[in-house]
Amino acid sequence: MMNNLNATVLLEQITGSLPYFLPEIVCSLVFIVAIFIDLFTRKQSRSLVPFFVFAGLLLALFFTLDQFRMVKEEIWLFNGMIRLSPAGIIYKLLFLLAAMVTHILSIRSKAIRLAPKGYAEFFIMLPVFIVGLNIMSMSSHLLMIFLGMEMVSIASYILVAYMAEQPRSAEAAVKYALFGALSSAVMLYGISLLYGLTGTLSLQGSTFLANLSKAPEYISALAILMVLAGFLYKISAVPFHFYVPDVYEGTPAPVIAFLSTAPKAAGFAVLFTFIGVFTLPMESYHLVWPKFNWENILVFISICTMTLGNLSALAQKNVKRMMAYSSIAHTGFMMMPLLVFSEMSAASLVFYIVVYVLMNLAIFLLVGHMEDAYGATELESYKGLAAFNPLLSVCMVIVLASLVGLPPTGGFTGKFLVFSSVLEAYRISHNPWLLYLLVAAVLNTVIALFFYLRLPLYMYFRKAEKIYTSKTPLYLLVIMCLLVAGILMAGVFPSELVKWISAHTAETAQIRFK
Amino acid sequence: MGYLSLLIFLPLFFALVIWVLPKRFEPMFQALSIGVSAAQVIISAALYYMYSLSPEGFRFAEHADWIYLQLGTLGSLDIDYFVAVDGLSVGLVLLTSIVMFIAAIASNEIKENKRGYFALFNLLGTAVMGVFCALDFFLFYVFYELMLLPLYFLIGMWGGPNREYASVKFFIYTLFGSVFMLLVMAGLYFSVTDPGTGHHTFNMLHMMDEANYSRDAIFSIGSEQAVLFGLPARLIGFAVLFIAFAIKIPVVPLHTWLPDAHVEAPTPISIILAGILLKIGAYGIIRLCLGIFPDGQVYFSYWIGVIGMVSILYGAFNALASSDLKRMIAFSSISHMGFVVLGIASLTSEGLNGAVYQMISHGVLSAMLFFIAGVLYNRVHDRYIPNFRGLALQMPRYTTFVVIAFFASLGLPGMSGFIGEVFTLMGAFKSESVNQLLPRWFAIVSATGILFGAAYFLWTLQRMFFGARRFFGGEAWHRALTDLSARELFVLLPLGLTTIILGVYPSIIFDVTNLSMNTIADHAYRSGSVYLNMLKVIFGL
Amino acid sequence: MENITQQIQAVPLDHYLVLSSLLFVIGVMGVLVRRNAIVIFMSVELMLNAVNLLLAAFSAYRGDPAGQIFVFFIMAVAAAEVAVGLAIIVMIYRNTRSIDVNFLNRLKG
Repeated sequence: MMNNLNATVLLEQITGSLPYFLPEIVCSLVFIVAIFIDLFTRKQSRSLVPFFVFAGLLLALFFTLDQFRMVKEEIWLFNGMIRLSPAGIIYKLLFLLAAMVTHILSIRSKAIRLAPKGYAEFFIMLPVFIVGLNIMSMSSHLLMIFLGMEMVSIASYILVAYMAEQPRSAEAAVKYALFGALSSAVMLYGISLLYGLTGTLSLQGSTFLANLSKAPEYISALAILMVLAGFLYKISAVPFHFYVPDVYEGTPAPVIAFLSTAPKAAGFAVLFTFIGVFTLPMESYHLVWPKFNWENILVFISICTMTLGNLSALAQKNVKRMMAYSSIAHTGFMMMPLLVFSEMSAASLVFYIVVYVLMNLAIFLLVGHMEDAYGATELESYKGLAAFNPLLSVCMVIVLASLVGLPPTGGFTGKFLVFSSVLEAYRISHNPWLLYLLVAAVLNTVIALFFYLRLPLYMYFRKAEKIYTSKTPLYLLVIMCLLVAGILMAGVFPSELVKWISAHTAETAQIRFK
Repeated sequence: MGYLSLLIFLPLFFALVIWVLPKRFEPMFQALSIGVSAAQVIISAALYYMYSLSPEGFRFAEHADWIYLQLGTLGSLDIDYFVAVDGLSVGLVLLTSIVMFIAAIASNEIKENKRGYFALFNLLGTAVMGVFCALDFFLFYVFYELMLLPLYFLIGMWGGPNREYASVKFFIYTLFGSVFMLLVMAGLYFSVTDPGTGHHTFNMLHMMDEANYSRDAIFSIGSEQAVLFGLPARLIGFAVLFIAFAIKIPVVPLHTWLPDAHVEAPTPISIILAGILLKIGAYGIIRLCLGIFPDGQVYFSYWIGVIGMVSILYGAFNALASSDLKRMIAFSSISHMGFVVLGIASLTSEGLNGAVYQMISHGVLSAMLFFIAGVLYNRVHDRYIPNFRGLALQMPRYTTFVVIAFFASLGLPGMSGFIGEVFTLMGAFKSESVNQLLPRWFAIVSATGILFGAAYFLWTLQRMFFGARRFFGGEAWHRALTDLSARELFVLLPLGLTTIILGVYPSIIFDVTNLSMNTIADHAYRSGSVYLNMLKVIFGL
Repeated sequence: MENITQQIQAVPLDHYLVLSSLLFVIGVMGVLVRRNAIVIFMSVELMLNAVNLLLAAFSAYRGDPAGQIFVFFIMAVAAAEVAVGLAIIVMIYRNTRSIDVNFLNRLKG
């Protein structure tokens, strides 16, 4: 392949790909320009950089939306390094949404305003994230996956360490960075083994699987598990979840609003690509692993993740820690459709992720507001909030109901779709593990109720010990209402959303099926 | 918009209105809620009358596409907005609106945060009405779960001292049952196709028809494929649905949330809980368990009969031992709902008709009983039975209604409780000769439950109301315990009359329910035995 | 270039595999055993170098440059990662006057 590479053809490939890469190019430029703006205007104006970054994100949003028009089916960019699929655009849209909401939440956040490193640098990181996340969601080449993940990881370390003057924040950052570096090293070792076994880094095409079939089973299994470790770290699945509660507790809420949504969604996009390779009809590649059943391993991890997340959440008194475990538990739920890989599960995964992003943004909006206005981080300090902040509290109850999975919210529809796709897969394969998974998921829904209910319990049932004086800013209420409206719409009238999602994901899944 | 949609969504609309109205309208919220439920009573009474003119099949149906998802290999996901009533549900719809009306009037003990209370109250009204009307399983489930959150807050925010515990317990018990129901629902969806469109469907009526099941699905009839955990999937499906609804009824091992919820809930919510919520459990069993999994019903009938019998006796004994008036009434509810379960288990026409009758009768009676307990509690904030003596002298008019309610509940002939209990017992007694599902001694043992019922009601009457006046609170209570106000009279009088009318002239209900219940009993027993025989052949049960 | 490839191929592939596995295991042990944050980072670097070695060897044996290109990316990214990591460790040192990870126990639960 390398011998007949023609430089001009290659160059044409690259220039031809650039129009499809506009959102990422815009973000990169915004990043560079913003650094200079910050350098020269730091003394005069604090709000110029955030404003500029937001405008840049809007521009990226415009180009991303434009891609829906441009891209009707999978296309390959940069000589097969990047794969732009309609499903990927949905992910990109989600990242931008999360980034923009985070941006708005952070503008007034005390923790970020008072950071000695300066206020502007925080916002400069957002476009970097977008580039990394977009690459993650668009890559099916191991090198690009690695680059995207590292970009996101390093940016995450910086954001978590942003308030490192506070001991908690520094501690969270060092834990995060150490675990992250370790897991990426393990993943890389797996990648290098896979490369040695298959001779290619591209997951696309038949070379990868065909060559893998010649390799011994145990070493392929080891390589795959090591690569999975890196991905599981990104989506914070058990047993790679240890850092999550610490990071959540030690980091300002707006940052967590972003870190708990976008990177996780991107992690699922990558995992989907990676697992998708192995759901190709393996027999046609003579790839038979009698001992290594990766599906059951993932089912087991999924069960452990949701159960451990929910059980640990029960014991928490700090809201952010509780939500950290809740997000771990949701990872377990989101893994369910990955395991059954059908057209429906592809759609239900994306649907669940969309709803999850909305829910977590809404939760951390409230948590951030409480932190800013009253320095409140413990469950105790939410006592009697409802009497002072009725609208915010009602929104909160709806979001929590959605997190539990009660109708008529998007969380319920998501759970229903996920359960249905697993049940349907069970009907076809009769794999008992899928049944255990379903039962575990249902039991976990009940366990989750225990701790999600504690928030409204404190907000509504307990009498306030102090007076919540500070008024909720109007823009927070507006965003909250929009998010909640989205969650309710996804629950009461999900047809359009699911139709839209499945229209975009169908192709990706179909290719695997045929 | 049809009548049923109007019934369902009227409260929801006013819940929103109440939520957005400015604070100065607060005194109007209760009047608004009473007005809404009064309108519902009128509509549902009209529906009941219209249905009774030709009581057959499902009527007032409304059908609209709700959610339609194209899901590739799975085909499409069709969820309809499908509501209709038959002889089973039309009576319960009427009961619901009456009980909501009573509860709305009883709500003036609510003093704080009226906006939240009445908004949730009306939201709850929408949910319970929707449960009885929905014929699409998904829609049913949505309404079923929608009840939980309002009730959780209504108990938890306006309840008694131990309200947090009670509300969380209630929520978790119910959710535990219903999340498993979600799986069964999804499984049924993939097993049943709509004969018209060829798509999978949530339509309950299609789920009740053998012809619509595909061959190799999870809940297929007579298929070796229909296995879960090595057991016949249809029996598991039945058990899951039954447990979900049995928690709601509640039957004995699953009942512990009820006394707590009742004791802590404010009076109007107790009225709704006992008057409507418990009926949802029994309604679900008759509609879904019997309709969709008749084989399970035939298979488990004996044990369901045992559960009913145990509930009757256990509830009665506990009521006998309770010294809190509300707790006593709560346990009497368990006992009375035991008759419903027994009637259902018999799978005879008498048993099922009696069960529906008992549901309606108990709905009215329990509303009355809890209102009575509330009258006392509002005056002296105490319900401890030994703290009162000689109330008959203190509050003669009140005592009259107490006597009516107690006697009706203990099954005095000529009053509504009698008919329901007798019919369910007759059904259970006949079962041995008609379908051999329940042995005769079930009926005989259960009948002693009536005896114990009489014991605790009469004993309570004697302890609290007769004898010389002596109150725990002394002089203060003497002043506080005034006789019924006009408002309370306005509630109790029609309820008291209803129980007597129902007792004297039971055909008001039987005329409406008879055909539907006969169909259900007949279908459940006949196809149930056929399916079960197939299962026996396949699994060698 | 050809020359280097031949020289790499002069050593059997198994040797590279064993060496890089050893390096990797030493790195993992270091992460697990050592308590000094900087040493832990060094151990991670060791793991990454094991990866680099493996990639380079595979690349040479397969005659495919992709593996070697990957190595360059890993080196660049690892440098960035370490830069951020060390900065964080400096912060920790300022707070606690220690870089022992055992002191990181404020966040628990």
